[in-house]
Amino acid sequence: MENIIIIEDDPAISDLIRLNLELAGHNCRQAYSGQEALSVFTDFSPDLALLDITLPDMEGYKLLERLKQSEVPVIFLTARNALADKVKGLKMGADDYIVKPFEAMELLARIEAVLRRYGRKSDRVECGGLEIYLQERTVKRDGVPVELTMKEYELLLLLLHNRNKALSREKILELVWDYEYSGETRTVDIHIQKIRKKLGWEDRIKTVYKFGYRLEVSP
Amino acid sequence: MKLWQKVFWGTFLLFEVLFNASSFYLIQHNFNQNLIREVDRGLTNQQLLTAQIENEWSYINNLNQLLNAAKEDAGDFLQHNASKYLKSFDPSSVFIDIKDDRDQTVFSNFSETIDGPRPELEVKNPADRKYIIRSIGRKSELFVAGMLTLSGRGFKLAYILDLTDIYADKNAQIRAFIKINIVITVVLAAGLYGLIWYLTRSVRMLTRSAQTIASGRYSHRVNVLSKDEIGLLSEQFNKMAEAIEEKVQALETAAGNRQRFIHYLTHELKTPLTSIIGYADLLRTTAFNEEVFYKSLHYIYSEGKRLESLAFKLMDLILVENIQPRMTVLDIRPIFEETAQLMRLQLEKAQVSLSMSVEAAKLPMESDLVQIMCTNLIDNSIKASNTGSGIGFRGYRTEDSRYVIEVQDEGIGIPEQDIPNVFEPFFTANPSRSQSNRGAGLGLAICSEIVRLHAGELDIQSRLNEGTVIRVILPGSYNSFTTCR
Repeated sequence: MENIIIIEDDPAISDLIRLNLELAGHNCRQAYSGQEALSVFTDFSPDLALLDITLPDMEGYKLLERLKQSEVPVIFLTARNALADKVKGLKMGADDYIVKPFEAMELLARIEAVLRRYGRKSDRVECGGLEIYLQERTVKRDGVPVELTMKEYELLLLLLHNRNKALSREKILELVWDYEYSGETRTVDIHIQKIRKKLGWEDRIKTVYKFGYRLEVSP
Repeated sequence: MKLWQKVFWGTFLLFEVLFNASSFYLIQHNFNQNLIREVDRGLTNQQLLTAQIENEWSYINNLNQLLNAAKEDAGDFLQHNASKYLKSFDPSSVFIDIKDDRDQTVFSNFSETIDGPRPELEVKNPADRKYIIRSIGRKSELFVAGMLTLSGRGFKLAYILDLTDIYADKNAQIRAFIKINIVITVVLAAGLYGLIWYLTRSVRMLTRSAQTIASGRYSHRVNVLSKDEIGLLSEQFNKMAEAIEEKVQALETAAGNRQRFIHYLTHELKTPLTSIIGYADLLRTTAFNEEVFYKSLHYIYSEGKRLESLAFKLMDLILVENIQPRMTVLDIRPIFEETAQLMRLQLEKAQVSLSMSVEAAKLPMESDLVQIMCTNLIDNSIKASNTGSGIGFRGYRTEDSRYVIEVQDEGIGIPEQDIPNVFEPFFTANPSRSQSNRGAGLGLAICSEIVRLHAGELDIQSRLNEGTVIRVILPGSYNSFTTCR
């Protein structure tokens, strides 16, 4: 449960990000202007800020300086993809840079990476009766270790990071097995069967018809 | 080689050549004149001497005949008496040498030995005189020889004049000239250098300025110093630099505008796209949740609409920018009425009332474009207006028979510093306005293009929180269209 502040003036995009982050188990607050962000900041101590560069009352760069003073990791969200803008943002201390339009999965992965880099992500994840120790790469169910192969463990992590969202077989294959062909989606099915059984998650890992799988956990 | 160096060396060398040549010519000429004078004197003196000796000899001879004295030998006479004729001459420079008909020296006070032949002595006629100038040792001597006839005996008298002084004079002149020449050369070089350096400074300045401008500092100007050709050139150069500066600025502004246009366009395209794709993906991948489902669909719909409106506005803008308007004279009233009809739904939705007054007039125009312009202006006013306020939509003639289309609202107004920018594509004066009210910022850009096509004027007056009046002033006659575009 990380606190994330979304500073974005377009309500549609802001809501979209909030919905995605809440599905992944984050705690969100929205701010639609620089001033609002600063006032939200006082009673909500975020672990990470998503910051739009074009804000109605100030440039995102200005807000970045303020945020950096309180050592909050910042990911820039912007429609500008000029190299100069990226370099400027990163030089000023932004931790990452996401260009609109972006995919929710990419956003989540980048948030994950930045949080881990800052050590804000706890080493231990609890989900659906499982305890996952990221450092040791071990999984326990009710205190009893569950034996998982490398690929099974990675598949579990991928599902956890994208909880409540359907992942296509192709995407899973690409992200876990590192290759981009759709011929061997059977491999995904076999591994899903195995971890369902090993973790006792027959109900939680849902098959999405003609698409892929979704890990359902109440947020 | 630089210009000033060329001028310097050219002038310097030309002067030196002419000065040296003329000086040497003068010295030589002077020397020749002296020489001629001395030779003439030598010839005269020799003649005088000969005459004197002959007279005296004949006098003595006659006297001897009268006295019946022994006849004296002419050779002896000469030997004894020659020196007395020399008394009237400078003994250090004038000598005589007398030889008899067998070329034996009868008398000579010339001490130097003369080597080589003596062609001057080859005189045959008593009236003949020959002269030669010879160098003997370090001296130059003039020899003038002529016949001396005493009692039928032929002697030869050579009058010898020392010319060393004339040669020495010439050499002294040359030495003096060389000294003067060295001084003059130095003074001339310094003077020329200074003068040319001074005269060419404007050229150098011009060069530096040209380099500065060429290096990209287009605001630089030449400091015009003189009123001569270079001054004139500098003035022209400044005019040229000004023209370049203007052009460069225009290009930069155009490039900046284009950059900004692209920048805003990408922003305006990507923002709705992000929402549409994002919500579609969310619906596709998550379990059904009614609230999320309707919210997502709402956003997909409204953002899709936003994209649609942007696309249409962009098409309008492109159309207007590329169109060659076909002007037809039409009544303005139907356009007002149609506009009001078109905007009615939007007005009702925003709860804004529209009051319209039109003075009938026939105007040359492209009616579709004028209609687009009117709807855009009213659309802007609705967006700026608060619920319950009114919009005035008027058309009237001015005193100088032009026609004004006026849209007045009681809305939020435009900050003064933003007024010059409102016609720029994608400019929105008040970005914090709620999202649903926000347009793409293309409306006024389209309007200003349409006004330009009609050779009209746009006037905008606004006060924050009191309202805005936009007037489109159209020329009421045909004439102005021939000149537009």
